[in-house]
Amino acid sequence: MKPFLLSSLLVAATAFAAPSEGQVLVLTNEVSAASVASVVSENIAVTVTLLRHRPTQHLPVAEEKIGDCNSLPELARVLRAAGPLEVLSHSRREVACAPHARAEFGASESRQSYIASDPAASPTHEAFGLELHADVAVLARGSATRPPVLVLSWEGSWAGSVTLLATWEKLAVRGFNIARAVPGITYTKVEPDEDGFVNTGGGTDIGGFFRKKKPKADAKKGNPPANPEASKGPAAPGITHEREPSYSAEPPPDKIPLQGQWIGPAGQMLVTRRVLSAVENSGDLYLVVRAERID
Amino acid sequence: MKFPHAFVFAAVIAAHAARAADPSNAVPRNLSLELTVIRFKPESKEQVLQDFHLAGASSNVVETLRTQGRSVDVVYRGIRDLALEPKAMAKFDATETRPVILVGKPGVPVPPAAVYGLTLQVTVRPVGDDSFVLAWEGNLNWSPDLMDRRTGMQNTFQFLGKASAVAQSASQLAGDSGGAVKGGADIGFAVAELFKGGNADSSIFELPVLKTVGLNGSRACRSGQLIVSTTAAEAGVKEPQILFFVLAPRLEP
Repeated sequence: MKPFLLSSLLVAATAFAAPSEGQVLVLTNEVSAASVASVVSENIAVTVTLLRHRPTQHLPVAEEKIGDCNSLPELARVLRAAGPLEVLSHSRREVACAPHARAEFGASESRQSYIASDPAASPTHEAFGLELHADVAVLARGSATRPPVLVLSWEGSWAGSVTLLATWEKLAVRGFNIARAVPGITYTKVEPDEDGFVNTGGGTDIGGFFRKKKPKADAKKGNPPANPEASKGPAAPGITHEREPSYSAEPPPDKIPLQGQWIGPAGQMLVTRRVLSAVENSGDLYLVVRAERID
Repeated sequence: MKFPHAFVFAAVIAAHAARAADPSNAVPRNLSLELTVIRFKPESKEQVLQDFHLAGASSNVVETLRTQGRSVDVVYRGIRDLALEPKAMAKFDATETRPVILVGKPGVPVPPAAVYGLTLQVTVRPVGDDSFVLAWEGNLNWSPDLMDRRTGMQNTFQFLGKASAVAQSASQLAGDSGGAVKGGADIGFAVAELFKGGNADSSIFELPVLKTVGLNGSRACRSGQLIVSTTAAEAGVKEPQILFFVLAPRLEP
């Protein structure tokens, strides 16, 4: 047997092996690229939605209410009843899993600016929005009455404007429907310090994935946190009137990592929530991921 | 000598069956791929989360959306024909840029010129007589600012002559607009379309927003099945908009 074929089979066998409860199954690019089979398993539609909710009572909607929602419109209705709701991103992609496939959900925007007298001094034009991909692997094909069993993992980040995210001090991630549907749900840990946050929990515990934001990088060295106002830098000249936040005139966006993994039957709505605790900009960020079989 | 004939016949049948089972040995058929990119403005923000259950031809999709929203714009439509064989590939590249010229100001750095449009590559792999796998990879760069501005222009595309009218709807960060209109006419039609400001030397000009949407995906399908990818192009507190990427494969008889 040729070494390449053997290695491919080993990789495929590794990918097909269902993880035991509590085990973290990591889908790497190597697995995805090497195990493209010639037989298509399933067509899967993946929907990724990012919502920002600002509850009027400054309290997040109860987990039970979120967990009882079976559809995105239903979730939207529940949230809207408790306060203003914004759809930051909503995308649907289809993938043919054989048995692996990847879908991209990138949706970013930038606004370039230009100062005629000094082009080099033009404000930055950072890209804001969602950069996220989802990997789907079919562990067991479905039937007419039974949905396929999937390994669904997603990884990326959301780059938000300073008015939305810069004042976040504490983030929390919780699983809702997933906790009820699949006890063996696993989350992979985010590398500590990589994004300025520190893991204080994590692992396989549902709802135990809490993360606190460091004051600033300087705090590592014992220095006081930097003044957030000072970090904004000088205001761009000539901006005198109210308008929507100009990306070009704001500091670079804060990137919030979005990562998760789920094993179970297709069709489940996976909801994670990040709680904003800033006084002037409180609210919740909901990431909703759903993978469904299509014909 | 009937036995040899029967043996040969059986062998031919077996070989034919083997060829039929192996897509790589089948006679390739022609596959037509139609890609339509649609910008849709729904009636309400709630519709951004709606499943529109689109089906049929792309023209049906447009009509279906037209009845459920405020406006439907076909951003792009292209058809590519290719032979349905392994590693077949089609490109749907259609980009545009608008370079800027500063007349009478040699050596002055010019504003950046963004590239707008579609870059998409679709590969096809046959997996059976009438079934195949489509995989696509690419992105769309677009700007609702530009699109709405062009939609609002009457008898457009004569940018030089219409510079003043165009500048009226441009985004403004600072300065007196009257001077900018004249300045726009002086420094070229592209700048006149994209910028607006007061004293051109001290103003900050803001280009139209550049939106980039990733389009990677794949699908095992048959002829006539519609592949729909969607992205909420504008959401949040802005006017809701949705981008539809509709890929319609059709096997030629």
